[in-house]
Amino acid sequence: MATLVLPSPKDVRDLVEGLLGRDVTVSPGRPVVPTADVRAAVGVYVDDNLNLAAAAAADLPFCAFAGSALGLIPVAHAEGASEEGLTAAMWENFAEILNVGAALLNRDGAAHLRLYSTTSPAELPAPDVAELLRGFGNRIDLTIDIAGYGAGSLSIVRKAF
Amino acid sequence: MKVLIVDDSRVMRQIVSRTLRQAGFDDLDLVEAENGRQGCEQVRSERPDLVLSDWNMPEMSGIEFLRNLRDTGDQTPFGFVTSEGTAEMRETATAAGALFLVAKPFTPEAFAEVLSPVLG
Repeated sequence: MATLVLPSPKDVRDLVEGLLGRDVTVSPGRPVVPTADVRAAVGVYVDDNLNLAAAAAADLPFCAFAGSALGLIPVAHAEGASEEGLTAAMWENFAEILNVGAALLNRDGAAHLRLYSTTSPAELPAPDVAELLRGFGNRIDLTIDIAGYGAGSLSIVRKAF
Repeated sequence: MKVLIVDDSRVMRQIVSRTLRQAGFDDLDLVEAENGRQGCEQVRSERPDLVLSDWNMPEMSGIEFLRNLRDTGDQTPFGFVTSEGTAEMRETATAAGALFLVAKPFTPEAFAEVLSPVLG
């Protein structure tokens, strides 16, 4: 059976800090489950046979803060975006964070995963992805505070085969 | 010296450009492409001294891009800047003819270490 890799909070902190070039604090958080009322961005990760293998969901504040910090967009724009939706640049930047985030799911000897698709907070994920994100199993739920920007939530869920 | 940066993410191309400067390579002529297919065209038209390429991209991946170059006899120095960092991927990259693989997220120091032998 393939090894199911889930990142540790430190893994997540190191990756986000390295990408953004800012101090990042990571602590246990509540699950991010996208619904019609709770908007969230989702990254879908597949194995080399294109099977759904993992998903990441980020709430609107984390999308806005991380997407802005990556592109050096001022924090005032990110704070406004938390209420009004993401700008195209913030979303494009955050999608790249989801792309690089595949590194958190890959280890030597484990099945290789890569980002397959993304859905912005304006959309709902596909039913199978939504179901995975509602699951109680192999998941990590974090609050991530980006220095100079603010805090948001991120969940990463690994599908058991 | 001319460097071709190939990545489907605009912000990542900007970050690679910035990191090159931070690593001390501030006299480079930088050109860009969004995927491997565009990268092939840019290699032929721009004749870069080095290619820095992402791995996972639409249209043509980085490894397909590298194999395409080598299959056509093009020996332009080529390195990956990618979220793919496992030993298996590094071996695949080396076997195809890549000089190095820098894993995202990266630092100016990581760039300086692998690029100094190529860019001087």
